[in-house]
Amino acid sequence: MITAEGKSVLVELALSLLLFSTLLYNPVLLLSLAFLTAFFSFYVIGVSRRLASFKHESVEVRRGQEVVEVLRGSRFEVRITVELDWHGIVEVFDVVPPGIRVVSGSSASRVRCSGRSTVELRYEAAVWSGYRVVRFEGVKLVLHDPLGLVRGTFFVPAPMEVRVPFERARHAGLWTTSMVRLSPGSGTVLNQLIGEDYSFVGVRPFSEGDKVRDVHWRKTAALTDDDALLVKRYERLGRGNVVAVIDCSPEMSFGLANDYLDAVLGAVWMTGKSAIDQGSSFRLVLIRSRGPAVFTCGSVAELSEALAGVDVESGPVTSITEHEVSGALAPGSYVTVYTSPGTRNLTAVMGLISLAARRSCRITVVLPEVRDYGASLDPDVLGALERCAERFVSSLPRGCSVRTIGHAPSPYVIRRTLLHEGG
Amino acid sequence: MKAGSWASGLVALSPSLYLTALSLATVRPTPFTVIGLLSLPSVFLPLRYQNLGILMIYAPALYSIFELMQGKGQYLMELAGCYVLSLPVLSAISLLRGSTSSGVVGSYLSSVISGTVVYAGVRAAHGDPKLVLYSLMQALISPGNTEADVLRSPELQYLTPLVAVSLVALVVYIHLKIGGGAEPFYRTVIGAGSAAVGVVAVTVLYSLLFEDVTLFILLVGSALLVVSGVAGLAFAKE
Repeated sequence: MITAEGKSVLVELALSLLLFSTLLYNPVLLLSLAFLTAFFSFYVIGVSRRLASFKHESVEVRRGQEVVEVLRGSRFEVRITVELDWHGIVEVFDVVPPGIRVVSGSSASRVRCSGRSTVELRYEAAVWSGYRVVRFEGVKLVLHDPLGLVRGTFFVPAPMEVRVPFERARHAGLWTTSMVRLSPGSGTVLNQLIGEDYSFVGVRPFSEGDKVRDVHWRKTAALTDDDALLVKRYERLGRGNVVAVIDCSPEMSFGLANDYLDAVLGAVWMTGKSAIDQGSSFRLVLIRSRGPAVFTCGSVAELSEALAGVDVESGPVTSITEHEVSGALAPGSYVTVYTSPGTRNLTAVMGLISLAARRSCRITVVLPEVRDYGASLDPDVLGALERCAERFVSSLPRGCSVRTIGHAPSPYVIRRTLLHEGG
Repeated sequence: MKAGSWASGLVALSPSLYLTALSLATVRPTPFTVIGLLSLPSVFLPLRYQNLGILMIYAPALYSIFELMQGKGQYLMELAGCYVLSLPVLSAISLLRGSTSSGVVGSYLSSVISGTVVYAGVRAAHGDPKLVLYSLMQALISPGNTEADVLRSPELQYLTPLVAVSLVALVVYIHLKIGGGAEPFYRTVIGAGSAAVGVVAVTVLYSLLFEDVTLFILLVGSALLVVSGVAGLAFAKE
C-alpha cells in the first residue's frame, strides 16, 4: 500500500508534469520530471514486490508473560519484544482485545530499523469490569520502505491470556451489611431469594416482653378504636433449597467499568453465602453455550470456586433439557434467575423458568436497570432494549417476581433491590 | 555516508547554485542588494541568533520605507528585488534540511524553477537591482516566453548537463539522507534509476523522430503513475 508520503510525491510529480508541459512550458524541467516520475514509479513497484516477499515467519515476537492473573481493577504490565530484520520505519501495534484498556504508556511503537533490530513495547493495562478471561492474539507490524513511500502490514501471532479470579473480599462488606439486616429477631428484613427464616403472618396486641422495634406503627395508627399497640407476628419456616441461575450471554456485559455482570456476581455471592450460613442448600446454574453447568455449593470456598469460572460466552444456547437441570431444581426451591433483556439465550432461560414454575418453585427474575447500564447507548437501541425487557417480563409465568439492579449499585441499593423489606 | 550525503546534496543543488551565481554576477551590487540577499536566509539561523535575523529583516525594510516616504523609492525596490534573488538559496537550504522525499523533491524543483525565473528577471533588468522586481512581474505575466528566451541564451549552455547530473545526485541524496543508505535497497534504487534513465533516453529518441514530445512525456508519466499505484495496491499487503 502506498503511504501518504508516497502519494504526495507522486501527486507532486504529476501536477508538476502538467504545469511544466502547459502553462510554464520548460523542456529541461519536463525531462527532469519524466526522470523523477519514472524513478519513483519504478521504485514503488520494486519496493512493493520486496514487501510482498517479506516473510512474517522471520519475525520473532516474545511476550513477557503468557498467562497473567490480575485482580479486578489492578494494572498489569504488557511487555513485547519484536526482533526482525528490516531497513526502514517499523510500526508495532499490540492488538488490544475488547475488555482491556491501556492505562499508561502506548500499545504502539514506531522506530527506524537498519538491519537486525529489536523493538520493545511496554505499557500498563487493566481489565474492564465484566471480563473474566481476555486473550491477546498477537501484534500488527507495519513495515515502511526506507523512503517511507510504501508500507506493508503483517499480523504476527503472540498469544497471552489475562485471567481475573473472583474475589471473595470484594463483596465481603456487602454481605456483612445484608446479614445484619437479615438477622432473625429484628423481623424487618425477609430475604425472598433464599427463603424466609421468619415470615410475617399478622399482628397481635402488644404484651409484656415484646420489643418496641416490632411495633407495627401503621396498623396501630389505623385502628383508632383500640388504644392497644399492635406488634408483628412471625412464624419460623423450614430450610429451603436455594438456586441461582446466571445467564452467561454477552448481553450480561455492557462493557462498563462496573458492569451488570459484576453486580450479579456480587448478589449471587451475597445470596449464596447467606443461604449456606443459614443451612440451606445452594446451587449455582450457569447457562453456557457448551451446556449448562450445575454447582452444588456446600461451603463458601466452593461458592468462590464456582463463581471464579463465570464469564460471558458468545455461542447461543437454544434449549435446556429437563434432565440437565433436574438435580438443581428441586420442587419448592427458591430460584433466582439473573438475565438481561435481548439475551441470545432467551429460549433456554424461558424454558428453565417454565420448568421451575412447573415444580412450584418461587421464582425471582433479576434484570439490569437498562437506563443506567445503557446510558451511553443510542436512544433507539435503549428504547428497543426497554421494549425487550417489557416483552420478557410480560411473557413470564404468573407468580414470578421481577427485580432490577442499577448501575454501580451501592450495598444499600442492592439490599433494597434484592431483599424484600417486609413488615 | 554523511559525507556522501552532503556531496550528493551539493551536486543536486548545482543547477540552482549555477543559476544563482549567474544572477549575482549580473546584478549590480549595492548595500541594499547585499542586505536583501542575506536577510531572508537568516531565518534559518539557529534560535540563539534569532534576534539578529529579526534585525536583519526589519531594519533595512523600515529604513527603505522611511526613504520611500522621503521620496526615494529605489531602496525599497532594490530590497524587494533582492529578496526575490534569495529564493533559490532558500530552496537550496530547505532541500538540505528536508526530511521527507516529497519535501526534498519539491525543494529541488522549486530551486531550479526559481533559479531560472530569477535569472530571467535579472537578465531582463540588465542587472539593475531597481528593475529586478518589475522584470520578474513581467516574467510572471508571460512566464513561458521569458524562460524560453533565457534557456536559449548562450550563458545557460551548461544548464542541461548540470540538471542531468543533479538528478542522479538527487536520487542518491534521497537514498542516503532519507533512506539512511539501506544496503538491501541499493539494488531497488539502482534498478529504478536505470529504468528512469531508459525512459528519458526513449523520450529523447522520440523527440528526434517526432515533434509532439510533450504529449509523449505526459502519456508515459501518467502510465507510470498508474502502474506504480496498481503495483502498490497489488503487491503490498494491508
